Amino acid sequence: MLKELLLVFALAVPLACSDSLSRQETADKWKPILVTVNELAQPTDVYQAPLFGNQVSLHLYVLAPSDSSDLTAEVQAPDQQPLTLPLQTLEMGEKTVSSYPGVDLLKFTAVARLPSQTNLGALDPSLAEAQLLRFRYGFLLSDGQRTVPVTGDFPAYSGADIPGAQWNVLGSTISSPEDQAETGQTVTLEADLANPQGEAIKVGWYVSAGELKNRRAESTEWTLPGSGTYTAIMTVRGKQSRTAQLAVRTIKAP
Amino acid sequence: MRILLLLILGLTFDLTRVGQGFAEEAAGANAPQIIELQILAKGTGRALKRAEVKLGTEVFTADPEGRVRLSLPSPEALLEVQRAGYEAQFVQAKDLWGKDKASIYLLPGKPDDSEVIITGSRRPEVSRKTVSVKETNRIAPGGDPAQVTQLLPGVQSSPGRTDVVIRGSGPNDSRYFVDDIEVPSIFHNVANLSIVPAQQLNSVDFSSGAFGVQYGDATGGIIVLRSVDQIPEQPRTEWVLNVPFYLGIFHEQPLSATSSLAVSLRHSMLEAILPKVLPKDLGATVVPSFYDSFVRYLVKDGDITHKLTLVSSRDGLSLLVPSANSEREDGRVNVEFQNYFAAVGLEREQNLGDGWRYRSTPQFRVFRLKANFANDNLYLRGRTFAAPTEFTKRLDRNRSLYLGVKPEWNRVRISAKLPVLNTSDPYFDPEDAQRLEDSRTYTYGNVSAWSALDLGWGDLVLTPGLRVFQSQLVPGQGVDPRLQGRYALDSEQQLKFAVGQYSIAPEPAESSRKFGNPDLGYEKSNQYVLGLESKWGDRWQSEVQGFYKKIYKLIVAGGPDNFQATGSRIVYGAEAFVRRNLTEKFFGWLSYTYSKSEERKSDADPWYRSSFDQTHVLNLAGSYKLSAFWDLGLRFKYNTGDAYTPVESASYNANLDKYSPSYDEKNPYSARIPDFHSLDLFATYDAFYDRFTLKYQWGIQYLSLGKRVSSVSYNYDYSQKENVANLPPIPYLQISGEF
Repeated sequence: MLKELLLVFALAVPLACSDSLSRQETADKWKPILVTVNELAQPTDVYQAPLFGNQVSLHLYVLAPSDSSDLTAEVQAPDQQPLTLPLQTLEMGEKTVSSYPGVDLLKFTAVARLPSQTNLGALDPSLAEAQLLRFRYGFLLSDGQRTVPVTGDFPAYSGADIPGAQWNVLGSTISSPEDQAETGQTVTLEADLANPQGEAIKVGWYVSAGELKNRRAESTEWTLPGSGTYTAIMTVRGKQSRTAQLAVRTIKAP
Repeated sequence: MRILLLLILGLTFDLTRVGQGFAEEAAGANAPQIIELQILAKGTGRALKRAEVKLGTEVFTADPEGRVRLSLPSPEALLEVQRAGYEAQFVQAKDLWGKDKASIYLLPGKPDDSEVIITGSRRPEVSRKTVSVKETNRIAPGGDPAQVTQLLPGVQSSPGRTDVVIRGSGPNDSRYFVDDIEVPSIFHNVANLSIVPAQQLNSVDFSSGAFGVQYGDATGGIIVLRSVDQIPEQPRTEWVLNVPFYLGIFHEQPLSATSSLAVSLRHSMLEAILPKVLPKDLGATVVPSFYDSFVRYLVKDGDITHKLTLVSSRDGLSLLVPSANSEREDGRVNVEFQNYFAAVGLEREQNLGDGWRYRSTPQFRVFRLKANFANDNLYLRGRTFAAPTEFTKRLDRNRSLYLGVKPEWNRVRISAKLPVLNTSDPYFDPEDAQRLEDSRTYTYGNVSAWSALDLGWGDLVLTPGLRVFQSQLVPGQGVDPRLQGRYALDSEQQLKFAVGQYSIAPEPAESSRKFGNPDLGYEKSNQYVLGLESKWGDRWQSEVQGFYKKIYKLIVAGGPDNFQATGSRIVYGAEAFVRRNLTEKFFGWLSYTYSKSEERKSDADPWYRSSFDQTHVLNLAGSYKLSAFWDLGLRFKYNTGDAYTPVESASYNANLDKYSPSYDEKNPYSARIPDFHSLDLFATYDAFYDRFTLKYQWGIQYLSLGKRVSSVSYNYDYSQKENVANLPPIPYLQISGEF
């Protein structure tokens, strides 16, 4: 075991440092950046946890250079594996494109109906009494030349009162800079994170151009390539709740 | 730069002094003189007994203190002072006139290519090579003895690798010793330095496989650093300044006619230098550090020799590297390793008479291993008491009997906070995995016993042997039969062969009820070796060997208990070794290994290339002594690139906002990094002062044509791959002093 552990450690170092070839945070090519589950239509809405037997909506966000209209998404059945159940009934819905300076934000919607507790029991008797199950989804993004599989999972509950069912990080936003702000060549990006349950969260910043000091930090510096109008996108995920939030800011640099 | 200029000036100054062989004192009177001369070796001030002083037709011989008393007839007389191995000095009597006493220093003689220096050999084994420290000093940059193991046939090589892969077996499958004291490794993690400095060593024994029954719990090879076992005639102190790597000091002191004490200490300087010289905008901080100490108390009293040895070593590495997965404010990830061990052992060797000898080395060892990666960590601590003892009986001229036993007690504590590996989950990611946080203590004993017999019939010598062993980590006992043989075809050529079974017990964590599989047995290996050793006069010798090794019941990850003994590995190949024996002027060797290594996880699986497969390994090492002062050397290395499993595709993990690679598991290790080659050049200049010597060593390591690649690296979504360059050519300077 020691050999394997040290091997993992040894491999982890170069993998952790493998960012020299290109950077994830820029919009040099289209790239998936987030999948939300049951996201709020309005900020004032109340979060609805995925429940057995209910419909669940997924939104796949893709960051793309302007005019990436050829991009399509389809459902891809995920591999079977023991810790999660494959989400069988997922169907693709509409695609919307929001254009921001230097970047498009594509949003693919998909819906599925989760199996009821009865159906789960019929599928596997050991699941008849389950209060929490994880469902795995899969998408396949393609522009005809390049394809990128997207996968993830989320928890679903037998009832809304199951402990943990209401955990979420929704309401997180960008506190700095303000939208449409005029800035210098270096911009401080700062997230205002909603994390009432104190779960482990993960921040990811994306920008239309420029360089970030640390795209995982709650607060970081963004160096712009020159004057112009730019876009910054913040994503935040709750590692336990699997809820996620996205926020966008555009800025102008003289 | 200023330091370099001072060194060059010092060296220039020294070159102007080397011809001055005697100390000048005040001028004397103008009458016949009685004078006492003391003849000393320049550079050490050591008295040269039996030195001769010729005065006309008379020859005076120096006493054990190097002293000669004679009468100078006139100031015009000429004295010739000489001794074998030193340059003769001619001294004008007028330079000594008026003195009662004078010292004359003789420079070491010019290198002699006519005399082959014989290095001792121990109990012969088919695949063992012994390299003396005299030899390693000539071909290892910095004179580090253990480095030569990486130049020998059967040893695989990778850029930056400091552990040893022997005939397709991983570093943990080999065993390392300082005399009979087992140590976890023989190298520091940086600079390819061994844990014991050259001054403390006599020779390095290296067995690439098919070793004798006195060694067990290994399926790879055996490396033994043999420490000095002679009482020095006089005190000796050496210091070493190696820029940029380390600082060291060694002192050896005879305590009586039968006892001596030697102490050495080395400490790295990298941790002080690197933070100052690394560019501030590099984004990464790398701080390696190490130290080692070695104490040897030796008593040789008639038929009994006692050697008390204390060896300790610590290596540390601290890395702060930029990472997209960092949760720190500065976007970096902290990685730390610390590896410490210490051992104390008392070796007693005694001639019991009537052909019986025995050697026993009760020893106590401790080790600590710490590894931190971001928020995960692993901490191992262990203590071991062992008492290997071997009796030897010389039955007659052709037969010798060996009987040995090694009881061992171990206590290991493992504390870990690590991701729980789930190899069956295609979406597994350590970042998202559950953490296992636990501490466990394992106490277990091992015992082994062995017997071997040398049987000679004319030109044939056979050595059958048997090793029996039991480990509390493994159910049941094990028995390994082995047979070695040598047949002299003529006075110059010897046919050698070996066949044997080798076993290694699982590690505590692998057989643990908590972490692993308590039903694991011994990993087994059957090894076959056939070779021809040839002497070509007294200057050259060569050896070719073919080998086949099958490892079965190999422990592989997988199954309900995390580990299962279902794997197999085969390694086969051939080695060639041509060696120019050591003379004062020239020494070197050429070694080449061709090998194939394949592995499978179970009998139902297909064979695939092993991670340790390296088809070609070529080493050329040589040293030529131009004069008593100058020595030039080179090492050239070529090897097939390391194998790795390429990434086939990658998917975006929406849970973690990162990409998960899918490796080509049907063809593990199907890709290779480019072949590797490098050239090291070095020169040594000895500057002799009357009572001390300064040794300057310059060199440049890692010269190459084109880019030297150490690994491959993928970008964030695994759509691009690039070769990671290895270290650029590194010049170094080492200054050591001996007095």
